[in-house]
Amino acid sequence: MTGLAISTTGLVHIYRAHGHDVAALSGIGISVRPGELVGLLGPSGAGKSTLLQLCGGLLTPSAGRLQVGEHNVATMTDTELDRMRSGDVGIVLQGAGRNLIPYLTPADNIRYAQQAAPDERDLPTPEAILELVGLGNHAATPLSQLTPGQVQLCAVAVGIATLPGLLLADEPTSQLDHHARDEVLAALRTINSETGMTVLLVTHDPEVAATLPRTITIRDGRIASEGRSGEEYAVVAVDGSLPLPPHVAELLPAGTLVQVTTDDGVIRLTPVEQEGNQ
Amino acid sequence: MINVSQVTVRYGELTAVSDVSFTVPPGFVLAVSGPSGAGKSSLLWAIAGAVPVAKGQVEIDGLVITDRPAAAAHGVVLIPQGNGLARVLTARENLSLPLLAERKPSDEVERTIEQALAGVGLEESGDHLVEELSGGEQQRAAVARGIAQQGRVILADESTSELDSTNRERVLDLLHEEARRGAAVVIATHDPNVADSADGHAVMDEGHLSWLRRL
Amino acid sequence: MFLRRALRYRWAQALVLTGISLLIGACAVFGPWFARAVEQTVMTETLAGQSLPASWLLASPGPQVGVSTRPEDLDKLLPNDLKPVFTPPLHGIYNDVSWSIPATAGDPSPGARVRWRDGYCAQLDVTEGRCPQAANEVIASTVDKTTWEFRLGTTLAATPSDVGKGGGRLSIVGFYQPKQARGDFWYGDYPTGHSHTPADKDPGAANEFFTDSSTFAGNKWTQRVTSDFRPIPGVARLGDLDRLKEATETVNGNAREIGVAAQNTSSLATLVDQIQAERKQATTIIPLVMVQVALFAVVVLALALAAVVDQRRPEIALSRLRGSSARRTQRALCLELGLPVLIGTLLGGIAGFALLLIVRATWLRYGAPIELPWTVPAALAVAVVLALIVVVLQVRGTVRQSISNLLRRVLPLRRGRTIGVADLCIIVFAVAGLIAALTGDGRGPLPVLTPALLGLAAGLIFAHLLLPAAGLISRSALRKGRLGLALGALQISRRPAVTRIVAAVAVAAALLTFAGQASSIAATNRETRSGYETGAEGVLRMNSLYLGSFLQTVNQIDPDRHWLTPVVISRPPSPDTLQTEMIEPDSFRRVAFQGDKLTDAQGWQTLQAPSDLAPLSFRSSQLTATVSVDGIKPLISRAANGDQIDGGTPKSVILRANVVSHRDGSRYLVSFPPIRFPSTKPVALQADVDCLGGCDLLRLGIGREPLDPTGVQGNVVISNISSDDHPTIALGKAESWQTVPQLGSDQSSITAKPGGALTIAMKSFGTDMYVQYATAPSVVPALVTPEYHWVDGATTTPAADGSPMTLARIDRLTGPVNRYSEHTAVVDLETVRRLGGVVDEGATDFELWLNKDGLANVDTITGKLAQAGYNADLVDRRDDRIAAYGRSASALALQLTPVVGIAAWVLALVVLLLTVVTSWRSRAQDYASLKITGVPASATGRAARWEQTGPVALAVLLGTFCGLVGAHVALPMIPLFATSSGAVPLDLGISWPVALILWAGGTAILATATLFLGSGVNRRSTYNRIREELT
Repeated sequence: MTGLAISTTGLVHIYRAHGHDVAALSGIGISVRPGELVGLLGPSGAGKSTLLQLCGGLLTPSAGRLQVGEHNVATMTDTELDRMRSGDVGIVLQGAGRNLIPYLTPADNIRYAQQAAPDERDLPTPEAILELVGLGNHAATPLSQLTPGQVQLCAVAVGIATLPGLLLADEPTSQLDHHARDEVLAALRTINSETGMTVLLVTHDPEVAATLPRTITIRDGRIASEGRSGEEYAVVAVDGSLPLPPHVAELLPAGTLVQVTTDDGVIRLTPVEQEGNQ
Repeated sequence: MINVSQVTVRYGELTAVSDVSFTVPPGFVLAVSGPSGAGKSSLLWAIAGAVPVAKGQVEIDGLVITDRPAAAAHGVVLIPQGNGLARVLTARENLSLPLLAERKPSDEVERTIEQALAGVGLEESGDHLVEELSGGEQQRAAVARGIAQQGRVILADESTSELDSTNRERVLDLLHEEARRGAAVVIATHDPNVADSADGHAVMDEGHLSWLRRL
Repeated sequence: MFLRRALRYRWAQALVLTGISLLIGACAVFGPWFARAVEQTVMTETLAGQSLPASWLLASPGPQVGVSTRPEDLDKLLPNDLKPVFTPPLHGIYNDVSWSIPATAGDPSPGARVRWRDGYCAQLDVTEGRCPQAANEVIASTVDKTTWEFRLGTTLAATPSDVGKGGGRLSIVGFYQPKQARGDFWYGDYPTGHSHTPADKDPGAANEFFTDSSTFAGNKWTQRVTSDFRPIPGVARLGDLDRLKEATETVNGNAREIGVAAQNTSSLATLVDQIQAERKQATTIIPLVMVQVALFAVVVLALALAAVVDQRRPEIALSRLRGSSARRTQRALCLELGLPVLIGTLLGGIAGFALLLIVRATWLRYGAPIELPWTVPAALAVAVVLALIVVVLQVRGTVRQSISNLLRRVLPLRRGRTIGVADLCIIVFAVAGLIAALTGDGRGPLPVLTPALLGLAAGLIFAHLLLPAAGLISRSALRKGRLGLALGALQISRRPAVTRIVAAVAVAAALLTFAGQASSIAATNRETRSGYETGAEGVLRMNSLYLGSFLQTVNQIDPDRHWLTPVVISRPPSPDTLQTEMIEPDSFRRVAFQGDKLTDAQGWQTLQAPSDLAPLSFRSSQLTATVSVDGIKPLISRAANGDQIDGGTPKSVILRANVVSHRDGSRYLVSFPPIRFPSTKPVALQADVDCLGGCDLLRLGIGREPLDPTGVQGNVVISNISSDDHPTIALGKAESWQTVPQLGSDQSSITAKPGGALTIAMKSFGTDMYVQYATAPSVVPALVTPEYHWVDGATTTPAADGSPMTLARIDRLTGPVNRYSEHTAVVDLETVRRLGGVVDEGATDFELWLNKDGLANVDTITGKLAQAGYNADLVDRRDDRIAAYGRSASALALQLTPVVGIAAWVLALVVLLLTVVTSWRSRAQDYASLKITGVPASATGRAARWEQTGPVALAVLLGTFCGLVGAHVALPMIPLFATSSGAVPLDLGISWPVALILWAGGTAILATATLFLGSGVNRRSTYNRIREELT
């Protein structure tokens, strides 16, 4: 199975709150290759969850393009979105319990999640899915008897029940202790490597981010930086703008005039001193 | 001054806190870290009087803590984990109602609230309902509520877990500010950065307290 | 999939849904079933209670020459298809005879009835002797043994009274007492109660003589044959009604066609009409009442489903999240929720049936069979469909929300002033319905829905006004530092669920108040109407020949009128003209039902016989009048076309007088010798009068000799009238002598003038003319029932002797006339007594109206009356009528109203509980989060209690008000009685005590519930609640 690629251009999402419009995302352009494991970082309210919901078709973008695999999410009808979610995109909501039907066993939860999958698909058994996440022994254990970490793993299992090409996970490790967190991250890595599923997960925990091969940091609705194996890089946007890392932004407040010079492949920014500007 | 002596907290069969003793003088910040379920919350709740101690006692500035209302009246502020705000109220109302309950004059209450909200960066969001705020904003509002109460003891339970680094710094600054004001502050956290910034760092594991760095 | 597990996990919710659906099903089924059962019961009880009017009494007419009919011939008149619902015919033969004991022939012959009835002997207790076995043997009543001194073997000579010849001798072989003097066997022809000697105040007769049928063989007795039967209550059913009426109306015509000489006396056709009218009451009231409850239950079901579906939002979100289309998710959820609703509704059908069985055994006293009218399954089907539609609508509404909306953890708290679209639609619909109800012609179902609609509209509007109001209250409470009130008010303004509670409670209170008003107003009206129709608490009726001795006996029994008031009714020959109700005003006001409301003080004053003019009494065997005439002139009479009729010269005038005897009250004409013309000197005229026992001089008048019709005018001056005991009878002033109005226009006139003792100015053309002493006014003041077409000066009503009295109407009738409420004139009994006259026994009824004390002592009273020779029967009791009305269709239907009220409250409580159950967790969590900061539990407790108690108490008040308004509008449309008695007005005023009790009770119950629940939430808001996730 090949994972799905995600590609967005100029993605904008605006919603109305308290009488005025808020731009959750103002022009996001990212590109995720099939089978990548990517983390979305950023302060709360930056737009991470919004981006995730857009990828899952739970929200309609206000402007821009969003391509998930073959699906042009911005232009899909509800029926097509349902179909996409039934087999191609799996979602793990924030808060493990919200992904599960409380009166069903883990195996039954997976069956429940599989019931809408297209018929021509070859679906793995619930036990196989549970094996994949490491809950093989607990196929029939009532949810109330599982530890928080196991519940989270179950939520992840339900998310991948139909072996979708893309898994979207919103804060899968918050509220867990280190041990459980590591378990969940290991499970995600296993899923990603063994099935080739693209995994996009949202987190605010820098320790979690450090374990991911690629991170995208979103701040104020825009891409702030990207990380590769722990190193942060600023990313030049489509329109040529370059968001500054926080410690640099402190030195160059908004409105500062900067001289940009190139010097042997190194770009130098020299602020110009002005009255009342320090 | 927080005086915890040989405190044990049990929930039925389960012992959450086992024979813990320490002292936090006013003006100091103690960080208590440890994995989930280690007993940090239970310890803080016991100090706040929100949970009864099975053995031992907690004494704060001369008052033995037996129940929450008395502790709260005595100035013991608890900032619970998972924000603990009232969803039907706005952020501002969450801050003002506890203060009004103490019968403080309303203009003083207003001033305190504005200061607290500004301190956590929520001055614009004061009139939003709690559920309209994002997770991080809710947590900051909870911190503001605790700060506004201007207690002599501040117990912060995982008050930075939802925050990004900027806001986390902000909150820690506020807590340290409170300590400088003369409060005794205990922070439960599993974030090592937070623990590092405190005056003392203890670790709880399965109910037992051990010291990494004494106060 | 996983349907069973889903239901088992949330079994409490499934139970609630089932419960509400059960109520809907039960109401839907019970309504039409109960209505049908009430119809059947009304028919059964009417036929049973009025078995005599319902009977067919076939009788051959009077003496027939040559035709001898047998009783069996009469049976042909009953159509074959109706035979099964009638009792087997009871044959009889009888005739009325006058009999005498040959040994004492010459004494007046009393009357009696000689009768044979099939199986009569079994109905008699033979005290002596035996039942007749051969012809001309009779058995007589034991009462007659005493009255007429019969003995075994006494022979009577009897002759049929109608032809006067024939008959024969009858010999008495036994004496009987009827086992049941007024039993159904006799079909109204009661064997006893007729026995009076001629010396009694009643005419003499004997009780029935029973004989063997062989007596009537041969044609000596010109007998009549009878065949009697009645419809069997419980066997004759609603389906037979039309046929019964048709048969009753056509039987007499059929008799002529078939050639059977017989007539049917039966009120069955009228009874059928009455039953049909009552049926309409049942079919109007009952379904409407049940529909209101059912609709309310449907609304509550919708609310319950809204809460239940809302709880499942996370699961719905998950289902959508995993790719199930909205339609698929909707189908699964509809199945999960529709199943308990379907089962509940069907179970409700069974519950409705069970309820019907209970009601049939208790209220209806088994008056209805167990049958299944088609309306029942139809109603159940409608209920099922409606309930399932509600399920689909509620599920649909939520499932179609966007997934991100579904994922939000908490119900969005609305802070704005916007009214939801749904609420707006309901308000518009309710107001539209109200307007239609109020402006419509008052027919149709809408008016009865008024309370529910009004409650709904007002409740919703109020609820939406409450939200901003609560916000204001909370702000001001915060300023004043009243934390509990502020928090409670804040929560009201932020949780839209309060609109549901307020609307539901308002509707419930409106329904309950309306139910209470309907019930109590109907009961009051039944009691009032019964009171007016009976006249008083009880009515004794008897016969009498003498007004004076009747009053004397009454004065002996109850001189101070603690117990009774006498009323005498005189009926006119023509049924369309006025009848007279003669009352004793003072005691009538005290004893008759609301007697004092008949008229006002002025009216009573005018009604009463003049008290200032005592009658002119004397005791004498002769009267001597000293009379002179002056101014005598002939009078030309004019014919109708104006021509003069020449007469001649008048010859004389005759002074006449009317005196009323004290002994028996009869009025005599006294004629003095004629005064011949010309006459110049006063003459003394003497006439004999039979007044040694005492008489009153009532009238003086002028007459003419038979062959002297010539018109004459002039004055007759009476200087003196003397009697044996009064040398001069003081005639009083001329104004005291009033002209007696003449019927028929003759150009005669007579007036009294001053001059001498009395001067009569006359214009006489021959007819007798009188002036009457004003002790009895010549134009009698009367209170006349308003519907009668009154002609001033020409309307008359019969006095006790049947002679017409001209009336002066007192326009001060302020209430209905007791007991005889149509074409009746109420006059003072004393006035009529002073007029004298022989009582027209057939047209006059003597009644004693009893109050409560009198009714309690009725046996004493009847005993004393019997001693005085009067046979009095208790013919009417107010309590009997109240009970009868209580069994009318509308009364039975209105017995539903308490049930309705209770059901409405149960539903309101369900809504309250639902709201609490779905919201208590988040409320407890909020209180916990406040408590943990140190807000005292007392403040949160107060908030928790205020939050629901305030709106609920206000909603009860509002609903009560709506119910009262609704009752005011709707009650005139509800038929409380089968026939609208125009005379007795309906009092549809609000019953304030009932309204107050229901309001106070409802508020107490709900307030207790909300206080209790609020405290419970506060108690459950322990600190560790803040750690919980809301699911």
